[in-house]
Amino acid sequence: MVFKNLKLILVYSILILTVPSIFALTLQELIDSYNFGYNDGTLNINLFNDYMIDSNSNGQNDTLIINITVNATYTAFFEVYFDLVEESGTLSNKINQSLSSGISNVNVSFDTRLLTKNKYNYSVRIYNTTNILVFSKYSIETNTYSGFENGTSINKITDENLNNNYVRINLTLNVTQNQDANITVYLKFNETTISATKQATLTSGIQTVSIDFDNETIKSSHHNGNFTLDSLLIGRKLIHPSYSTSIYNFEDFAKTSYFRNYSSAGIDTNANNLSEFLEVNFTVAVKNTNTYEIQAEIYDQFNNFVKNLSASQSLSVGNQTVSIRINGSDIYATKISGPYILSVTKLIENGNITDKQFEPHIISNLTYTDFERPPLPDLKLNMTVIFNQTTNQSNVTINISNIGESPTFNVFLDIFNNETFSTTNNTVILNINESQIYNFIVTNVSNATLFTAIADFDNLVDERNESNNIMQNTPPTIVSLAIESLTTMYSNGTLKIFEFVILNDGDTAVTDVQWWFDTNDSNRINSTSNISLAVNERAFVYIQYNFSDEGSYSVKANATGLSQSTTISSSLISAVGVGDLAITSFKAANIDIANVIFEIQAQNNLLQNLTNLNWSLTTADGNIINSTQQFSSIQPNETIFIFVNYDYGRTGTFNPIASVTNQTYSDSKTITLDIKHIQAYNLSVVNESGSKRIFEFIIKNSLNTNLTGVNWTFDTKHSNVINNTATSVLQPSEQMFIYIDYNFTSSGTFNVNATAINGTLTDSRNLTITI
Amino acid sequence: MTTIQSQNRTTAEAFNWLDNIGQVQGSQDINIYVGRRNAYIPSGEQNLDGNKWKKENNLIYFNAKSEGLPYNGLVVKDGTNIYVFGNEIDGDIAALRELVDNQEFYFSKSGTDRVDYISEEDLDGLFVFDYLHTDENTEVNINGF
Repeated sequence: MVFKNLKLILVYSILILTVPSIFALTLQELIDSYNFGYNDGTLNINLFNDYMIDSNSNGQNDTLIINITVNATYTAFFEVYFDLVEESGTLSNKINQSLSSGISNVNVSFDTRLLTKNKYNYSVRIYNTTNILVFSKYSIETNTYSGFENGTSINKITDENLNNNYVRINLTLNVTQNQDANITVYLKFNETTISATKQATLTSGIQTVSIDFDNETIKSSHHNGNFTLDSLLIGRKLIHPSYSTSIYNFEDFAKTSYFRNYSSAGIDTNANNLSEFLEVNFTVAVKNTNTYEIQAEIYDQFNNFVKNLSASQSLSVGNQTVSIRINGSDIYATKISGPYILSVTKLIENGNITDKQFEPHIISNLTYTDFERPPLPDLKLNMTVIFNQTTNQSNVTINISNIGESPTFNVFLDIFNNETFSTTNNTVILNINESQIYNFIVTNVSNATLFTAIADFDNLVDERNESNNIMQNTPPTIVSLAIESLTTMYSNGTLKIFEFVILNDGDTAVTDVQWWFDTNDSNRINSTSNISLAVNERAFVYIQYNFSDEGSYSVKANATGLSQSTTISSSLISAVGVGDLAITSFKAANIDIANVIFEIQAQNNLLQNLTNLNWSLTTADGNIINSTQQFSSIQPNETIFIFVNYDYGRTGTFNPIASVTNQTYSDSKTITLDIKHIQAYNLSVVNESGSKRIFEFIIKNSLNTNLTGVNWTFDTKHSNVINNTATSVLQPSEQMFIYIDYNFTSSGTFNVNATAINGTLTDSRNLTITI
Repeated sequence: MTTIQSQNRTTAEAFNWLDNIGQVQGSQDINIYVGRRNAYIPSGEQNLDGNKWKKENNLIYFNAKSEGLPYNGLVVKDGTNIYVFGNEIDGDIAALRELVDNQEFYFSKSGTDRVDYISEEDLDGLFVFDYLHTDENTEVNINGF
């Protein structure tokens, strides 16, 4: 099973987590599942062979020979490596060999005294002359061997503490060959290794070799516990012993000063829950009174640099604590989240590093937002939008200002609307209390277009207040309610059914809508419950009402409602005719002495057409005037106008009657006319001098017969009434001119009156003059 | 680089960054040597704070151990020199990733020496090998680098 990409590994990892453990894969199994071999096609190797020989003919094999058969595609020099896989590493050997094109054999030998096992896995690596790998194959098995010459082996391992100056590893070796060899011991703890090397002269037989780890090496481990003897190198022979030392405490071996402990905390001096400082405390075990320098670096857990720490301080012997404070605002300014890691610490004495540690302390439970803010800018927006209804353009003005405590740089301002307009502007620098104004004319917009301005959209500017970076114009809210229509749905005599429609024609909801309906018949019908209307929603109201009498009425529908505490109302008046066929108006439109023009208005109050309508006028002086042409069709609610000219030719009071009928429906109406035959007119001042005035007025006979006994009177309104002294006779259409000379003798305003008199009939005219 | 950082950070962050990092770049040269065939990688066994490392037989040896896998790699900071290399290109890349992952140590102001070894059990190294040997990528002669 070979994983060919990370996704597969991920899938398998998930499988490991989700399927029963029988399918789980260990890391070693995962590694073993790979084929690390490689072949660029230069060489083809199919035969791998190995055997042992006795090179010195002492009756015991001493050399392992590995042979491979190579089929080369071209002739060249190659470096061929063979790696025997030991538990603690590899034992490698190489040969430089020219390989001819075609089949060649390559042999490499290993001294069996370097071997520690009877059977090996080995790999073959072949490089060309430019040191590029052309072939590799892994996990090839050798034969199983026994009885070959073994090299030096370990009989016993012990360890001891030499007066806290050294940790000594004593190796009891069974040496098989005299040799001068470097012996290196590797001690492992917490994934860290320390080593010590000693050059030793080994002679055949049992021999003890001691390798010492000096106190500074032990101290540098900062380890208190066992060490594992991970591997041992004797010359070229690598041995993987299984040995654990006694417990050693690095502090026991320390002869120079070292870091003993670390702590850290946020310092909130003003109790506002924001720390003014990050304090890191270094506890130093001082071995020598001196001035020490402490250096450290703080990173986050993702290797982002946060801050350097350093301090120099004179320390006396003993455990001393050095506190280093960092400004909290500096931590905040990094915007790097905690937890933080003290990545490396160094203790320096006289310019020499006496102790150092990697990642010895984690500053947990603190992140940058826990610290005081530095002086920050604060961007604030103001926007005005003026819409031009004529051009459908909006004049957008945006004022971006810095109301914070520090300048800000590179401020981006995005402006867009809810249609297609969008633009971005940039301000290089905005000092404290400085503003920048942007102005745009945006075309093809409406009064309802919503404009939005956002400062620092990507939040590149750290601000004191981030909530005032967005501004939107507020399109005017239209609160409105309308009576959309008022119609008669049904009519039967005086019974009517009305419909009126209440429409919310604004752009906001209206609640608590109430209505009332005025019948214009001394009745008002009120709604009994409130309703709410959403935008463009309608309420249909139906009212049945039986009018007390036929006639023409101005009914009125009214509605009121609430929107955001604003009371709005609307009403609609409609004239309705009650009854079937009705004369809605009959009057004398004009009277010229005895010549009268009558106006008759008749309305079809039915919900159907009326046909063949006739009319007649009974003049009340013995004449009846009938229509000569019928109204063929009158539609519902339609009003017809009839004008009749009639000359009474004499004085008198008359009660003419107008009638309309279509045989089925009819109506009539009468009025009273007072026809006067005498007329006074043209009252005027024709001459004046001081308080003296000369008045003129005219009396005319409007009859077509002689008018006898014509008299007049003139009231000066100055305590004097001037009366005619003799009556007159006027022929038809004859006029009589009267001139009156009067001295008012005093100043004042006088409303003089001239009256023509014929028996009981009079006709007067007034004139106001000022003396 | 300074420009890129300042674009990606807030103004305050950029100033803080320049205050702390910029001086390091200006006052200290770091030489980075990458790749197993780099001639500047010292030969013979090196000892750094008790860790012994070397490149021998075209393999990395770390504390006497050589695992021989393509993705084994080593990152070493020795003074102002940083060596980044692996057994094969897989190890070169895995070591570079390790350098980036631990940049706080390798590029720190304190300049502390350090060694990181990409072992057989290093999943990041194994992932690099896995990625380089997908069917698509094996069509390229990755060992030709």
